[in-house]
Amino acid sequence: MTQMFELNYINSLFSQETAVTIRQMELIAEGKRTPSTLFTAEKNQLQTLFLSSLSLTTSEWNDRLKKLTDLGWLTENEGRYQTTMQGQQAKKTFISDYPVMDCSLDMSAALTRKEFWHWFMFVTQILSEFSYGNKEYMPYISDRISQNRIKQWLAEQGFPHKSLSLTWAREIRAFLETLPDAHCTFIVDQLIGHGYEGMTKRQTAEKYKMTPLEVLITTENLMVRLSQSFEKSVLLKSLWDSTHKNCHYGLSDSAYRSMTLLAKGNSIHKTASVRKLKENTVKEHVLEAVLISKYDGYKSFIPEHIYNQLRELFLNEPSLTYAQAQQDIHQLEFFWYRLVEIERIRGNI
Amino acid sequence: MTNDRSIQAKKLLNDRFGFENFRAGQEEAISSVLEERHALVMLPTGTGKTLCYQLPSYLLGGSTVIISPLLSLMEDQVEKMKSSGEKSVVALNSFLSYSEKQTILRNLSAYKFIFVSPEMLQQQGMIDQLKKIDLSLLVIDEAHCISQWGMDFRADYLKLGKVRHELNNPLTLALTATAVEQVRKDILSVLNISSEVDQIIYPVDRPSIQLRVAESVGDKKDQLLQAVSEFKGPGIVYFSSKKLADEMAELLRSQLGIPCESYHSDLDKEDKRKIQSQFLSDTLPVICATSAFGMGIDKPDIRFIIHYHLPGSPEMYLQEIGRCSRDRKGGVALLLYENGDEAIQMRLQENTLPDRDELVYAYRHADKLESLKDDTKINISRHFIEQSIPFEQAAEIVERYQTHKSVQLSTMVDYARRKGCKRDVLLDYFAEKPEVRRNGCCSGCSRTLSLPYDPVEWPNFLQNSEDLWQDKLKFLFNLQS
Repeated sequence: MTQMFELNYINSLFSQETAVTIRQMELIAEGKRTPSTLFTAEKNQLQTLFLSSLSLTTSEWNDRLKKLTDLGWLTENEGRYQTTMQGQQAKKTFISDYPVMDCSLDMSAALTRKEFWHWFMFVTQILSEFSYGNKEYMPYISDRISQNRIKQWLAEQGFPHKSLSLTWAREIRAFLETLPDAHCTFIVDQLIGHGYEGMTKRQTAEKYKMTPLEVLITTENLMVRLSQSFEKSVLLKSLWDSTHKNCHYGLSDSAYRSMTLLAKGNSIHKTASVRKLKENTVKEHVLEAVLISKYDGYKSFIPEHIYNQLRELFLNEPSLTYAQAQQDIHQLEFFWYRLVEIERIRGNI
Repeated sequence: MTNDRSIQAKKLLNDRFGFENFRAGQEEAISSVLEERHALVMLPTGTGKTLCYQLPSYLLGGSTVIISPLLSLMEDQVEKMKSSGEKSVVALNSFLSYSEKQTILRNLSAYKFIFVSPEMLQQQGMIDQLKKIDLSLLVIDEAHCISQWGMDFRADYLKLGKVRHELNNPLTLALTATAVEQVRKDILSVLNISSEVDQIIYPVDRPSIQLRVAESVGDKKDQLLQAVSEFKGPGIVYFSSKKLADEMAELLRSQLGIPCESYHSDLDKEDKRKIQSQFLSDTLPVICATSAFGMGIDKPDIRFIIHYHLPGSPEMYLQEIGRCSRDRKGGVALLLYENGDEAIQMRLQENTLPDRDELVYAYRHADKLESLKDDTKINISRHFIEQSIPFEQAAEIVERYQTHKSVQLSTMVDYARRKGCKRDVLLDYFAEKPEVRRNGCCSGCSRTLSLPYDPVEWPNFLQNSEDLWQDKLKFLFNLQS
């Protein structure tokens, strides 16, 4: 199964809604934040592929999709790949063999799931060493910015309060108890702390007879699962929230800055002027926020009568194109059209 | 050094660093600094050069600026100092964000130790900030980089004389492990401290390291397996290729059943850190590495260093083999040499220096160099142009440098092939003679050699690896039940 993992994983990303080109898959996996790539990801329900650990070159994508087509799991029509009945059956079998892969992901958490793992490891190291009273160790994270943020998070939790390591250990244990034993050892083997150096990805892959990709994706999916079971985990939830904030809630640094200004009531024009950007760039930031973080304050950027007209048009013709809409609405901005189109694909029209 | 200062230094050595006595060369270097005399200190790898600036810094007051050539080394040095309790330390390098750099620069005088890359010192803003602090000591680590005859041509290192002048010629300590006479002269001349400097030069020889060369005839893999099983661990095997490092690590794991990892620039930094920690804590006995591994690794009981490929220079070789036997309890440096191995180094060298045509192009199109990719050839050409060095002179410098590189490589070939004493070949290059010649000096002196240390059998690495996760978690957080 291990050799087939990558193919199975790619196949599992396809749903009935998916019809994409190789280039589109490549751009989504790379985490390109252009509104068009993000829209393609959402429209094709490929959010889980966004900013994926699946790092393939164009020729590797070609090779993998050809293999999937040869297996009869995908079919290709004018350069677009779609799933088949056989493909969906194979997906079902894969998910039943690897339940941890049954993980749908919000694009806003794509970066957070990766970063959180490192923060989780570092906090574990700090609290483990603290529980032994040891201050002389090489920190897992060496960059100062992250170190300072984690230091600040720890201070907010009352560090160096003695009970903190105990609570942290309890929360990890409570989470692990919800998982099969194999996954618990899989996580614990990678942790570092006092007297524990932790396994590298290669070592973990060897022990669990996985490919390095399988290790990465399994780890990330377990972190997502952790983020979904926070009821009893005050510290873990707080760390996830801090990481998420540090990752700008999934937005690029620039989009985050624009959105911060817009949230303060500035117009697109004013925001562009303050940030010395083109208005179109700020509009792209709004689209990024809508597509990634599900920002719902966008209606104020569309004139009300145009918004209503667009909704009406989409109600009558769900596959309305921009060109068609332009025939009815004079001087229609693509930005307005795209915002309402997103509403439509999200089923809000 | 006055008696008072000497007593203070000894006390500090004991209280702060936990050592009873200075190692050879350290006390002299510290004395020079405390007497406020510039010093060029050449101490063999692994003999504690860092202490030569750390200790006097506490007695001098003010801040110490350390110019360090490698970002990863700088980060390691900073982390090491922090973990040993020195919190007033900072690294100024390209890893910092703009705002973080600004914050540090605003509070620069609050730091006792400021690590900075030579590239960063080319920024006038940085110099202006450094001028404002009470700079009591300027340290140039790996000072051989200053000289074009050193191991690496680092254009920004060549400009350190100017930097030093702008900083009002502070007290300066230049540190190196391997510098031939010419390089030492260059260091002093570039820094402009030739006339008033203490030179503390110790032999590069490390008598506790046995030198071995094994001639290979298509059987390097077998020789490697045999050597690692004989030497036991801990040890490092160096390769010129990442791919081969990966393959041989796999071979050692599968054939010898021992933990072994490859270490090179393709690994992410978290895995690099884990591998370093495993090696330091003896859970990982052997590492197959490129030259990316080793600088900043302070493990006293490394017993062997094997080179699978011929290194490009005696300087590089001594740096790398110097990582074993830091505890002086014996180590082996083995070079696996096959006829023609030098071709790999020749190819690597070809890619580092501009040839005449490339230099002509650079001089004709100086304005376009910025847009070209940042490689050594471009950096060297840019340096000549920025320094207004006439083309012919630049071409001559490159030619001389190429000749020098060839001499370095041919010394290594000679080391590999010559039948006589291997140590003599290396030391001749540094114009030295062995001061101590131990039994089992090298494979040139004796046909059969026994190990200069007692090899310890591989421990049972599987122990504890099958513990229950609940137990591991308890151990991790020091929980009793």
